Amino acid sequence: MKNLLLILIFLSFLQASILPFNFILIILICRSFLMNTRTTLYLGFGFGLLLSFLLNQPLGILALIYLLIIFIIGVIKNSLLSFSWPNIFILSVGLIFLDRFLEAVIFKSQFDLWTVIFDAILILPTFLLMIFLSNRFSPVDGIKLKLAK
Amino acid sequence: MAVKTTLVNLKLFLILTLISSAILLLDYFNLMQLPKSALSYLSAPIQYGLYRSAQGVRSQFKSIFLARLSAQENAALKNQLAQLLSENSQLKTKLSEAEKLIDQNSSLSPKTFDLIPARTIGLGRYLLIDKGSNDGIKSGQLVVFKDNYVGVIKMVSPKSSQVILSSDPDSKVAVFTQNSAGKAKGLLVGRFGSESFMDKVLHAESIKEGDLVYSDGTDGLLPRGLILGKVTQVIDQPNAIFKVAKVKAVFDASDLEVVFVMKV
Repeated sequence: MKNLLLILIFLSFLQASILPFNFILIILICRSFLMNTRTTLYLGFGFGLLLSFLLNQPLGILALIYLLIIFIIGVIKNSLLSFSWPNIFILSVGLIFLDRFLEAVIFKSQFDLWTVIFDAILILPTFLLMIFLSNRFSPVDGIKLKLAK
Repeated sequence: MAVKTTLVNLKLFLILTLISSAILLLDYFNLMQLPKSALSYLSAPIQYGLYRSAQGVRSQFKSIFLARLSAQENAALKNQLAQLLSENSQLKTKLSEAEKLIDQNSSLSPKTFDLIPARTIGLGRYLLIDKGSNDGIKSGQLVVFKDNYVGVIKMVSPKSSQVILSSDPDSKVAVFTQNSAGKAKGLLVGRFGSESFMDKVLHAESIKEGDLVYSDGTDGLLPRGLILGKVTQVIDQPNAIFKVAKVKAVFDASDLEVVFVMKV
């Protein structure tokens, strides 16, 4: 968790200063699919506030958008919808589209489809990386050493 | 179980949404200035440092890109320069030929003489020019340069011709010299080398070093007054029947770029 927080803080500064990609949202979306929604809601709230501050936007706007997106994923995850990779990808792209659309409406800026495409390209690699990292460092249950009698 | 989880999440979602909305409202009424300015003391240097680092990296890549672009431009410019130099050289040649034509027209009037310009393309015993039977050149036609006699067309092929020079042993031209003391007539005969000999000059006739040698025109082949050379030495032996004068051509045939064939 500490590592994730440090990574998210670094990516927030990166997103605000240099690269205009939605790193934080992509990570939060992937985490929502993989982990429990509760912790992700806290992360969404916190980093939404931080990003709003760094991007000089009204405090709380991004937090509201991120909370909405994370909650939607949480609801869908608990439903009977099957989670194959194409479904996850399509849903993620749709949510990123929703985020960009809401930002364009609220801030009265031009909606840029290319940013949605670039964010969509980052989804699957991020998702796979998070699966790999979560499995890599977590102990697998049920391994027992059998001692020879 | 899923419903219970959803309800728990819904509760948390609503609480966090309310908090976010409250913060938004406070920010709207500028009540969040103090915490924002306090946080900016921490975030501004980090943002500045990241931005400057990114600029540094970008400028490095830009230098590489610009260097590559400059190399490509340099190669293209070099090609263009080579092309322009070649064109310039061709234009200079054409200009020189045009100037020579104008000079020629001022020396031998085009109203009197029909002249065909030709480029010299070789010099051995005979001078080779780039005009031949396809251009109306015939054997026996005169070749001149300004008002200087160069030679006579000997052999003609469709695209080139051979010219016998005045210094060739086969060349014999009736000539005369003129100075303050009088005129001297003779026969200009070529020898191998750059000099010819003006033979059959009477002892009584005056001829000096430096006198210009002109075509007589009495043989019916050359018009009168073409310059064939300059006297460099007079050999006057009392025992000989005639005086002989060494004549050197005014110009070197190897220096000629353009000559003119007189159409008769």
